[in-house]
This record gives sequence, structure tokens and C-alpha cells, in this order.
Amino acid sequence: MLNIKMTCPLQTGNADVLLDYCARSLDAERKAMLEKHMESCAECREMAGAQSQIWSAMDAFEAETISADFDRKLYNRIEELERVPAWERFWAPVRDYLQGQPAWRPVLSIAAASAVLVVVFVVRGDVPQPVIEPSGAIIDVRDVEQAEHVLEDLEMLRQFDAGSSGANAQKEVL
Amino acid sequence: MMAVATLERDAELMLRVRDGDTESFALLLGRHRSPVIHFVYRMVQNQPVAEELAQEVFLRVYRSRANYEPTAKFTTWLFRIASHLALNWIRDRRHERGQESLDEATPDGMVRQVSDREISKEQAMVRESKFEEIRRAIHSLPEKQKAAVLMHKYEEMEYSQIAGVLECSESAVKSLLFRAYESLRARLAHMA
Repeated sequence: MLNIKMTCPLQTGNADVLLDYCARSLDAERKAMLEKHMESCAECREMAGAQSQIWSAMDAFEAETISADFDRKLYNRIEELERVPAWERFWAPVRDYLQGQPAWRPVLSIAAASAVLVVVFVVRGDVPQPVIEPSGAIIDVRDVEQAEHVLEDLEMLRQFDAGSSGANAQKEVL
Repeated sequence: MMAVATLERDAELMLRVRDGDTESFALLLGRHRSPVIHFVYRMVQNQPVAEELAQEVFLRVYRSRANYEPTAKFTTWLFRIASHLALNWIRDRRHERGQESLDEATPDGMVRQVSDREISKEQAMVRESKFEEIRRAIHSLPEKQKAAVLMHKYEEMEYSQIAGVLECSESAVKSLLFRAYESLRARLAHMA
């Protein structure tokens, strides 16, 4: 079994074999094959040596001691969660999921900002109207009022004129 | 065989949590508290933040209990939540602080105390110096490489499980690890 020659892991893009070897997670058979291969492959030998040293050195990055009140704080938060209304509990996992998707974050921000703007405009009642100019297809309200005034004035003059001519006619009849 | 037994135990506990058994949640917490906190700590390199984020991890597990289905390994799901939270925290913090290099400073002014009183002052200094070198080297890795290395080295996860956590292929994980360890070897060559 050990006579099967291993192809160079670095030449064949299987460097994970060397990582496994240094992590001591390689099975006995492959370990023996790799060690046999390394006898004649300086490149693999060098990499395995450097990786083994890094692997051991990384043990220095020890974890910190966990706070004694970690569980108490967590259970307090769970208790608070239990008091939250049902709809909020339903919404929270959805929110968590969306927050975990970075691609959604700008979209959500924009959507939230737009929703706030719409609410503000609706509440204030000053939703901007479309402005079409200068085609004249939409007539300003002030123009309509002015036109009505002019028509009224003209009507008054017409009646005045009619009244005058009527009086003259009466004079003539008399 | 061991992995299957662990899957069954965790999934079984989580299914009991789903049915309202709070004792089972306490058992799950006891089994995974340390690995989750340690992983998040090495990601964010700040213990109070790590504990806060780890609490959020377990809170989300608890909150999702009603919809839990044992479709994947429990720890894959757990570490996926943990890595998402840690990566989001790192990204948010980077946006807040700009692209400043954290490489030069100990995060948040963290001063690590050497707790072991048995060792000499000189030994403590050497140990502290080694810790700092490793911490900075890991900190300098791109986020996904960092997460992959931490799960591989400290949580002893298999490539397939790391792939499940990071939601990528096994070959992508191998590539991430190869590049990460290559950077670490180059950066820490003087320690060899």
C-alpha cells in the first residue's frame, strides 16, 4: 500500500494535504505516503516545516476568560424577549435574516428613508403636485379668476351700454 | 461516527427546545458557550464585544426555535449565525472608523493581563509578545480568510463544515485557507 507514489500536492493544487499533515488530521496511510514523498521533495518539506511552526505558534493566541455573569445576562435577555409582543417576535427573525444579508442593507436603508418621506408628506398634506409648463395646458387658478373678473366687467359695461341706449330710445320715443 | 453522534445530540436537544423544554436550551448553551465566545473573540478581538455578540447568537437560536428543522448540522447553523454577526460588526466598525489601520494598535486599547503568576516576568513578556504577533497577523487577514482559519485551527472544523458556515464550496474553503496560511507564514517567518 505504501508503495503507491504520491504526486506532489503543491504541483497538483492539493496543498490541503500538507495543511492536514501539519494539523495532524491526515489518516495514517496518507501521512506515510506524504512523508515518503517529502523525502524527495524539498518544496513540500520546506512548506510543511514552516506550516508546522506557524501551527504551533498560533497556540499563543489564547482565548479570554468568559464573564461569570454571561448566562445570567443571556437569560435576562430571553425573559425580556418573552415579554415582547407576538408580532415583534414574528418580525425579529426576518429582520435578523435581512441584517445578515449585506446586499440588502442599502436597499433597506433607501426603502426606510422613502417610507419616512412619504409619511411626512402625507401627514403635512403638502404632497407636491406635478407642474407642467409652459405649455398652457394647465391654467393657473389666478388666471381663471382674472378672466372671470374681466367677463363680469364686460357684462357690466354691456348692460350699462344697453341701459344708456334704452334711455336714449325712450327719450326718442317721448 | 463521532460527528453523527454530536449532530444527533444537538439536533435532539434543539427539537426539545422547540417543544418548550428550557432545560435542553441550558444544555445546548453549556455545550457551545465557550466555542462560540472564543471564536467571536478571535474574530473581533475584543472580549466584551465578543460576549455581547455571543449572547445575540444564542438569543437568535432561542428566537428561531419554533421554526427549527434539523436539516444541517447544529454547529454549522450556530457558527453561521456567529460568523455573520462578527463579520457585520467588523464591517460596521470599519465604516464608523474609516479605513484606519488597526494593525498597529491593540483593539480598543485592550491590555492583556498575564494571569499565570507561576511564570517569570521574562517568560510572561515573551508570551505576551508572541500573543501580540499572532493576534496582529490574524487581524490583518481578509475577513473570510480569518473566519476560515479560526474555525480550522481553533475549532478543528472540517472543510465541509467550514464551507457550510461560510456558505461556499469546499474547494473555496481550501483556497481561502491556503492563502491565509501563506500570508501568516510570510508574516510570522521570523518567529520560526
